[in-house]
Amino acid sequence: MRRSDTAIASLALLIVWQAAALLLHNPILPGPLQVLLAVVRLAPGALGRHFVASAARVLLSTAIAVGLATPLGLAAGQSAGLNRLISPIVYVLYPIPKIVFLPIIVLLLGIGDLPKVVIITLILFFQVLVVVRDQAASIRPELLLSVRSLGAGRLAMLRFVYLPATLPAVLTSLRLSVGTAVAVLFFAESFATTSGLGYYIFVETWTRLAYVDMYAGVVAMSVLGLGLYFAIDGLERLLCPYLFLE
Amino acid sequence: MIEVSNLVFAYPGQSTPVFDGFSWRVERGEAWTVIGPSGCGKTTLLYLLAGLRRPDSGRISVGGADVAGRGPCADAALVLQDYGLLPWATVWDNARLGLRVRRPYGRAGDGLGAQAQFWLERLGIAELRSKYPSQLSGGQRQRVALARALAMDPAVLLLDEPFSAVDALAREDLERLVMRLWADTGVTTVLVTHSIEEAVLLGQRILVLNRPPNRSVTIVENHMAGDISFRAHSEFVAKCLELREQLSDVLQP
Repeated sequence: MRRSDTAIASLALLIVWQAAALLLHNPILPGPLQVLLAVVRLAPGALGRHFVASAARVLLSTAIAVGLATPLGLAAGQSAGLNRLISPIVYVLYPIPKIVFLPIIVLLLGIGDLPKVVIITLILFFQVLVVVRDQAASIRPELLLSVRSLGAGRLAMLRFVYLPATLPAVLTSLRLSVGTAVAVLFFAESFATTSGLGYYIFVETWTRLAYVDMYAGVVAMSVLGLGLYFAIDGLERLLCPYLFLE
Repeated sequence: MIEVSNLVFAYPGQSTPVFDGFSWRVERGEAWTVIGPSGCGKTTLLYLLAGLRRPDSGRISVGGADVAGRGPCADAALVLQDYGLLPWATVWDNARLGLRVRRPYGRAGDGLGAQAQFWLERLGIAELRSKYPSQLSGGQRQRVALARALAMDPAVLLLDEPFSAVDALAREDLERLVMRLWADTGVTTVLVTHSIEEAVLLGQRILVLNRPPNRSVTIVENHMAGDISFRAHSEFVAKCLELREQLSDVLQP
């Protein structure tokens, strides 16, 4: 996606928003400028604190999910025996919307950061596991043999073949699931907690009818999702330059 | 240089072994080609020599060292038909790969890269070093694969249909290159091919494999190998016919 295209799309959205605000002329839909000023005003205080709390939860969950799912996916992709063992489990668990476990997780783990991190980790874990496994299993045997013939041991195969071969798939799965992760975080933070953007939007502003501040929270949550998406894009360009050749 | 004695090898789950009491010998500096019907075990033989497959019984030694079942053979370098290069690594990183995989977490020093650089220059692809495989032609890719193999300074060069995925002109170019390398370095080569012409062009001695199980060895001697000008010679055509007859004998039920 070209930068100029992204900028034009953002501008168009802002114009539609402004037009809707003017037409509706009601405090429940403030205009973008008003909200932007609120973001600037609130960012050093409550909004910034809740943003950091939410971002930390997503980043930590992502790190844990990738850290757990990648080795397991690589192992399952290489070992038919292990794959036979975990495939049926994944097959059953993968399509279940993990968010339905949220009440149980909250009951078991209480309030605080842990249940949020666990639910997001759970969602990302299966996404990453499935793509890493499939990718590791689909590496051409010729490639594996030719690198092995150079004298590569297990570590060298991992470092020079399996990790670089699966990296694009990991990043793609994260890009596809980061939106879900932020959405689930929003929901998970809307009760049984005192920090995070979900809490800020639902409890601190929505219930107080502080519309402009609530919109500032919505913008912050959108920025979080967009920022993660762009960060993954940037990582892919940095780590997989061969995918972006002219 | 290569000694195979009483080799027995079968793929798991297959009742007919590919090799059954197969013995074969390659002297230092010889250029061999291996030909036979598809499924005859040409590629399997190379994998066994490279230490990538473990024989069920028998002995294989390369450069005096036993390779059977000890993992990849350090004295043999393997070049495959295609897909042997890492798509995510540049030409330079691919060419150094053999040197790097032996110390995966160390820093690849300049001394280790000198061999790779030498061969990239020698094969005329040094200016491509920052390109990725997808940006190269088939012929250029195989040159990189050759440079990577030669940078390891192998005693034996094993080539598995190395030119069958490139167009006719690039193929002739690569054949010429292999002949020159063989003449200059005297590296022992074993080249698997399905082309009778290529077998005669590049093989001082030609190993003809049967439909499995391979028990005895059929060898066609060929003093014309290594000179591309023979291609138009009547003797060359006669040798190709001889080899074709050998192959059709093999294919008789």
